Amino acid sequence: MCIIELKNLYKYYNKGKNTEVRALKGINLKINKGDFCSIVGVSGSGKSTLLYIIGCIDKLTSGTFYFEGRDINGMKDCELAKLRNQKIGFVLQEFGLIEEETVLNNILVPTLFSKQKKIEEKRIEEICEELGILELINIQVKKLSGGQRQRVAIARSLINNPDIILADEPTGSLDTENSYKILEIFEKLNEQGKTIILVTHNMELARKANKHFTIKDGIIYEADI
Amino acid sequence: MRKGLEIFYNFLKQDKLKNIIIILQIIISVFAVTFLLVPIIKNVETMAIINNSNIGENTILFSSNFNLLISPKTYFNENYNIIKKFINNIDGVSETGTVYLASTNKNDFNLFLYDKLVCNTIKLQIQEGRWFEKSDLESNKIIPIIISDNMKSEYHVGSTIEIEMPEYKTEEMKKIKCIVIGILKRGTYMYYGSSNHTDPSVSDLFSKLHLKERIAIIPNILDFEAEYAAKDGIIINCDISKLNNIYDKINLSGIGKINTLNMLKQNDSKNVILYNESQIYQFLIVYIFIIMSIGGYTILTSLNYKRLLTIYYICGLTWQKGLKYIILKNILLILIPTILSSIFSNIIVCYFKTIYTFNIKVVIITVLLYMSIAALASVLTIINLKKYKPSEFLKEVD
Ligand SMILES: Nc1ncnc2c1ncn2[C@@H]1O[C@H](COP(=O)(O)OP(=O)(O)O)[C@@H](O)[C@H]1O
Ligand SMILES: [Mg+2]
Repeated sequence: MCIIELKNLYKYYNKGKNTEVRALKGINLKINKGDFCSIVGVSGSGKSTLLYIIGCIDKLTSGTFYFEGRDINGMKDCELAKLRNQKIGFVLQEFGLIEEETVLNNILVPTLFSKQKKIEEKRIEEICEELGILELINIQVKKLSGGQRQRVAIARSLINNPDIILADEPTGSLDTENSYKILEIFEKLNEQGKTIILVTHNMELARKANKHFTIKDGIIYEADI
Repeated sequence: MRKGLEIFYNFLKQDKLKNIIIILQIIISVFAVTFLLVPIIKNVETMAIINNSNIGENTILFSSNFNLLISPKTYFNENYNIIKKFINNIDGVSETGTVYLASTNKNDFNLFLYDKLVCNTIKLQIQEGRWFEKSDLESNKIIPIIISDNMKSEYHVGSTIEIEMPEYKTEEMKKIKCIVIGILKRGTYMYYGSSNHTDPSVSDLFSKLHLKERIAIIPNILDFEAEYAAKDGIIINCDISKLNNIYDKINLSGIGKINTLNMLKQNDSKNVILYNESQIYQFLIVYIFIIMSIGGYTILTSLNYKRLLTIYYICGLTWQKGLKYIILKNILLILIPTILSSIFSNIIVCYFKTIYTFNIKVVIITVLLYMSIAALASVLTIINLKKYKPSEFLKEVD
């Protein structure tokens, strides 16, 4: 089943001004449920832009975007917010965590915006256990190492049990060993049925995915590596 | 609801130090504002009563000399009659008027007697019915009475009240039927007839009527001399051309001082601290400074808010709702300290300067003044964050 479908998608920043940037120029992309995709490309090629659009964080300029068969264009802000909350988990390069808060509070952020009454403690434990951060749960994020932070970010993206995980260079600021550990986590999540889109410029890591794309100057190509 | 509060609390927690600085700035400046506003408001409110009253060129006010130890704040019948007689005998004085407090606790309110001249000169603010008119004072068959607002539940305009008063000579209790002709405004000013200063001002003439204070006023037109405590301030109606003579006589005797309305007005700006032009400019400068610095802070602080807002946005909050939380935070952060500080500083001013009583208007005006700051902070926040895209922030982080 097709979870993401982009047709002829364009994204211009500062459209019409003299600072206009044509970040995406006609993207056609289909991602099926359960896929583990990697997207590689040089800096400035439009990887993040694409991921923000797929993650309903930014709006497209033209083209169509179907999320689970629904057209994103007609959706209201609150519907998009609900999608981000329920269906999408986002992992960023710089982790996007609240530094002063504890690991637990960071993981629970998405639950602040969901209708769900309360998340079961067992579920939090399970997720943290699996990511190896259970004993860190009451520690402030600012005291953690890079690898630990990225695990916290992943735990947060998982808490509302989304269908799809979007990771924008999640290993960008990690050493090789930690990078592989994080990649293993994504592989495991994929085995459990989650759709994963991994943006990276590390070819070694990209190779582990089962679908490969490259972006060049705002155009995406399917690649075999 | 609980989640909403939690989100709000998380926004509130950002930039603690800057928030504390803002709160301190507000608390301190509200104190300055209060010290300025309290006298101004009292002056404005009492001037409104003066303007409505019949205080004219030929009206002068006597206040007893506080430096004289023998001069008490209130006089009982005998002493008082001596002073009154003395003043009445001065060439140029045509009439005098005083306020008396009936010395009895038989009535369940404080009963004040106003001499005719007081009734005709001072007009207190009435919410229902009317103030004493000439015709009310002509016959002593029906005694008109004016009551305070908190007696409204028991009496209304037209109802009768039986009051009791001791006769001075015989000490016999007398019952008098009165008819209610007016009800004072709630929380208005009362003329108690005392002169609080050797240099009294317009503001000194009136005191705010306490909401719980039950009082009634009748004109002093009884057919007997009641036992009373007379207040030391005397209203004098005189021939203005003989003012110098009256002034000299009273001055020489050492019993007190007289003032014309113009002198009272002048004393207002002399007595009252923090009430002159240069201080208003100082206040304006301080106020503008605060507005600018709080405006500046809201721009500076928003970097942290942008971060939190973006994280929340990614996790499922709409941008607009996030803005609402920040604006609410701005408003509460400014208004709550303003209200608390304003109430507190008002209490302090009234405690140290007893001629002032707590006036909610001062608090309201202060809050309105500071709401403009809250509004500015909100507008700045909106301008700053409205066009802002989360993707830009994510780029900044990269
Ligand atoms: N908010 C923005 N405003 C203007 N230009 C932007 C913005 N975000 C990205 N761009 C530009 O769009 C292009 C693609 O950027 P991006 O998607 O971040 O690339 P990548 O993630 O592959 O490094 C770049 O040229 C970048 O400068
Ligand atoms: Mg990028």
